[in-house]
Amino acid sequence: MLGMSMGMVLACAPAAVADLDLAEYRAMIRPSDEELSFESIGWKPTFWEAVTEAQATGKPILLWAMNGHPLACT
Amino acid sequence: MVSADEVHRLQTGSDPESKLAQKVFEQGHYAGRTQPSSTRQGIYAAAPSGEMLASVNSNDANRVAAMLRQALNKWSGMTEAQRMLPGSPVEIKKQIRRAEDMFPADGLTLRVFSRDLPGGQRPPDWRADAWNQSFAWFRRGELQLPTGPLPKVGETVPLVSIIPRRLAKLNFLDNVRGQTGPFDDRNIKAASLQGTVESVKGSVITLKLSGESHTERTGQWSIRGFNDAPSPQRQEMKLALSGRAVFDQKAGKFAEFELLAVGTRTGATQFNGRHDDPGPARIGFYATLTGDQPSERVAPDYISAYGWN
Repeated sequence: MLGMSMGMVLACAPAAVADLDLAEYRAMIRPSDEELSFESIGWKPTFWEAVTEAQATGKPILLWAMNGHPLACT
Repeated sequence: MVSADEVHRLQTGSDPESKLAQKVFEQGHYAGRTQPSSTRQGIYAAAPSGEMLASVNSNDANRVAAMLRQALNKWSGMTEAQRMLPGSPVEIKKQIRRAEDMFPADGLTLRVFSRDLPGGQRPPDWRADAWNQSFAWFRRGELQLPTGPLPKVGETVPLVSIIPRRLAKLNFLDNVRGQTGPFDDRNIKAASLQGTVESVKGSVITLKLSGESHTERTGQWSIRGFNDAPSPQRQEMKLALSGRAVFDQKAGKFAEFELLAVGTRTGATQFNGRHDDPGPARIGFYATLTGDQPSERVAPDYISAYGWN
């Protein structure tokens, strides 16, 4: 496999999208800062982390619970 | 204190974290519900003791704000004993095991974004710009990192197959509009990833990545949530992979990793909202190294398929 040529590699890939423009597609797919703004809230990614800090600081907890982690795939 | 977490584990687990969450859930908007599902998803305000303050399952800002006002009103009327958890959460944490504890800090950890690509018709609502994300983890031992002589410019090196196969099965999924189940090994028609050496500077190797990913499954399942009976279906994901990686052989880690997967999706699953848009249509994925934020260390959705313990 180490000797496989680039020509062979490209021959295996769907020809229409074999040479993608990384910057162009990254800009299309990656969420914008605005789309990721929900992350600026500072969510604790586990319920118990919030329980621990709420107990220490005497504050209530807001829990956003979804099928699929809200900070990952939901 | 604000927390975001996956609800299924919390509502079915038996550890102290899950039990406390269940105490909250069973005072909330879906308490006791079994149909059309037993999910307890939503937004909850609670005291550390598990006393529920208010809850709602809505993405309407006004409804959430009203819920928060209700919660703060109840909180203000509670005594310290009513508010606080008996015992030390730090001590109780020792009884809690989570997938996040397996984060492979010395391995390869990727954040994978998904989005529909231009082409075809898009509905005039949130679905027009919908996107989603998932995570992929690889332990250092799984990567079979090279330690021998440095490769030469122009040489093509196959990356260990677990990278494209795990991504194909568990990350290159049509989750743009909502969750969908993973593929399994039998569904993989192709999964390959190679790196062609662009430069070698000291022990730092820059690779141009290329490859392909093709998964397909057939069977009987619903495609309209809880509103249709299972019927014959086919789902396919056919992608070309392209990208760039910088690997420091001396440090034994990737300093940079960007991978595009672009191609065609076909079909729909029960909860991924494609019943009215099954394609074939263009879809794209962009994978990059995770950052240092806690929110980027959430465990992969299907880590149970990794075979880790």
